[in-house]
Amino acid sequence: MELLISLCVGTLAAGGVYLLLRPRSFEVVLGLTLLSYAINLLIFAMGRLSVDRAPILRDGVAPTLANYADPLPQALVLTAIVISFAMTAVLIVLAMRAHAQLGSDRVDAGDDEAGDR
Amino acid sequence: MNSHLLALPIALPLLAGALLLGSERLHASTRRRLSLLASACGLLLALRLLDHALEAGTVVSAMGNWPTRIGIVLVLDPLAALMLCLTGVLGCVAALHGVNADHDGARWHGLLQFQLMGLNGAFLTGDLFNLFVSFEVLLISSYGLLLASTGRSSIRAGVGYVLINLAGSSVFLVALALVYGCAGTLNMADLGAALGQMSPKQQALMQVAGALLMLVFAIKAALLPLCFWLPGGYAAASGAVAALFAVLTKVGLYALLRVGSTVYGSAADDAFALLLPVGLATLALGALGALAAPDLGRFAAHTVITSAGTGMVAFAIGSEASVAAGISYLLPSSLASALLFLLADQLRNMRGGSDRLQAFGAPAPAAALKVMLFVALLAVSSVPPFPGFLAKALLLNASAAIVVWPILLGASLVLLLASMRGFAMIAWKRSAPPPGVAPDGLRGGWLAPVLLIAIIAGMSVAMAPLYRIAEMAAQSALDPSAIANAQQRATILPRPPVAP
Repeated sequence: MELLISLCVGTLAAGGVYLLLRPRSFEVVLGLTLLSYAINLLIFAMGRLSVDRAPILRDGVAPTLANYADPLPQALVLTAIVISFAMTAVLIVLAMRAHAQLGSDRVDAGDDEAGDR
Repeated sequence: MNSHLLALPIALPLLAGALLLGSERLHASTRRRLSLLASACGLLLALRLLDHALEAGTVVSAMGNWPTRIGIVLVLDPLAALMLCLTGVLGCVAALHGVNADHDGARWHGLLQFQLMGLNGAFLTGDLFNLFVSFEVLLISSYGLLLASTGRSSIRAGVGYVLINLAGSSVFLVALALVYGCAGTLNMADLGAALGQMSPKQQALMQVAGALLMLVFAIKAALLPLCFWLPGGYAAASGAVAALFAVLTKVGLYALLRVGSTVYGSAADDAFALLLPVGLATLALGALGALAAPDLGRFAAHTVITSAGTGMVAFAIGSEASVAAGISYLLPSSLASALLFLLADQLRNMRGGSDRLQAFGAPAPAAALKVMLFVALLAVSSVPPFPGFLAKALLLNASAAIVVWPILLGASLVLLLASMRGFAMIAWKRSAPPPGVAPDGLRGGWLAPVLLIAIIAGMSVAMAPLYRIAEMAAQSALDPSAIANAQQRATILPRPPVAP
């Protein structure tokens, strides 16, 4: 399972970085989304992968990490998901406004100096 | 003093920001006064906390009394308190300038308060994940503030600024995941204790995480290969926003120092040895960039880069004397850069949008603006009456590496030349003003620059006590066990056992 998850993280991160380096804002948004999926999986896996162990205390089972999944990475992932969702929303609004104002959705500021002076 | 007061610098702007965002029915001037009041309270609170930190040393407060492995701790030491004061001053200045300059949208002051909340959180936190959250809070509000300054260049620069910071946040999360996977905690002091007991494999992973963290903080601090997002973004922001942004790069430097000394301790020595040439190169690039800047906004942005480079050099040398010199340099130089941004805003207002240095046919600035500009330019280039000069001399005195001398002195000379060239071009090299255009530069927004000049002047008079405070700050910041000891002292009541 570790191998599968690490392959997933690696593939997602590679695709994300490739798209992040593309010149158009749509691809960049997709790239950042893929990258944040990769990171969420990574954080999740860092709490150790285990099957059938809920992070909810049960009667008669000692409250140690040997018996339960680590709940902290799950809380961290939840925060990271919320933040990356908000960031993606901001970026999409920004990309749309840039497209409306500049008439181009390229993110590489090619005519920066010529454009506004 | 109740140690839970440490949460106030975060809670106060949060409440004020929420109130301001929800107060659309209030009159605009009421909203502005409210924002100014909240910022002023924040400054008073920061001064009170500084007083407390100088008395009591490092203070730790465990939020909600959770044990440190799970809960969040806030840490106050003299360095954090000094940075809170700097944020408080710049917050007041930004709110005040926003009050005067009539450019702000309805939600501008709310965003300003959230930005202050993020800054204060980043300076106070003792937990790596909480540091990430504070970074995101201050970044999201800085995106809003930057884009609120309308114009094509603002959008263009905004896209670049947002993208590089989003990429930085992703790298930050990867580093956090690695750290948690190795140590099982994200509390900085606990991490410092755990690092020594790890297996070599885990230590190697922690080194990778440390390198990633260094990368993230270098993006925030705008160190050399990662500083090209800064000039365009800061020059496009409006004056009050850019003045507040002058403290953003200091967050990166602060985080480098704090995480380096608390978490990694002596393991970070190699990294800091690498950061010394980086800091020197950043410093030189900032000075050269200032010489080449076409307008006052970009000039001010390059002085921010110079200041970050100088601070990095001081922190990288790593002795108590050099860090103290670095802290006493960063405080006045941030204020001086902020002052320059405000004056660039004035110049733009006066000339109808352009703050180009070489503006033929532009009306002459008013005498008062000329004087303030002269003072600001001397202050950013650290000429004797200003506090930056003594701090730089102390830094040279503290640096053992001989290579620091020629680069720091040369960059100072270039910066002074650039300043005087800029002043001459704005104040003297112009044709006669067209008839009918009154020389006018002080419509309203003169209070904030005058306040900043007064504070800088006060600092130059009170340099000796300031340096003594900076020495205490350096001492506590470089002592890796200070936070751990204070964390143990923070009375954590035993929690009741989980009901079976």
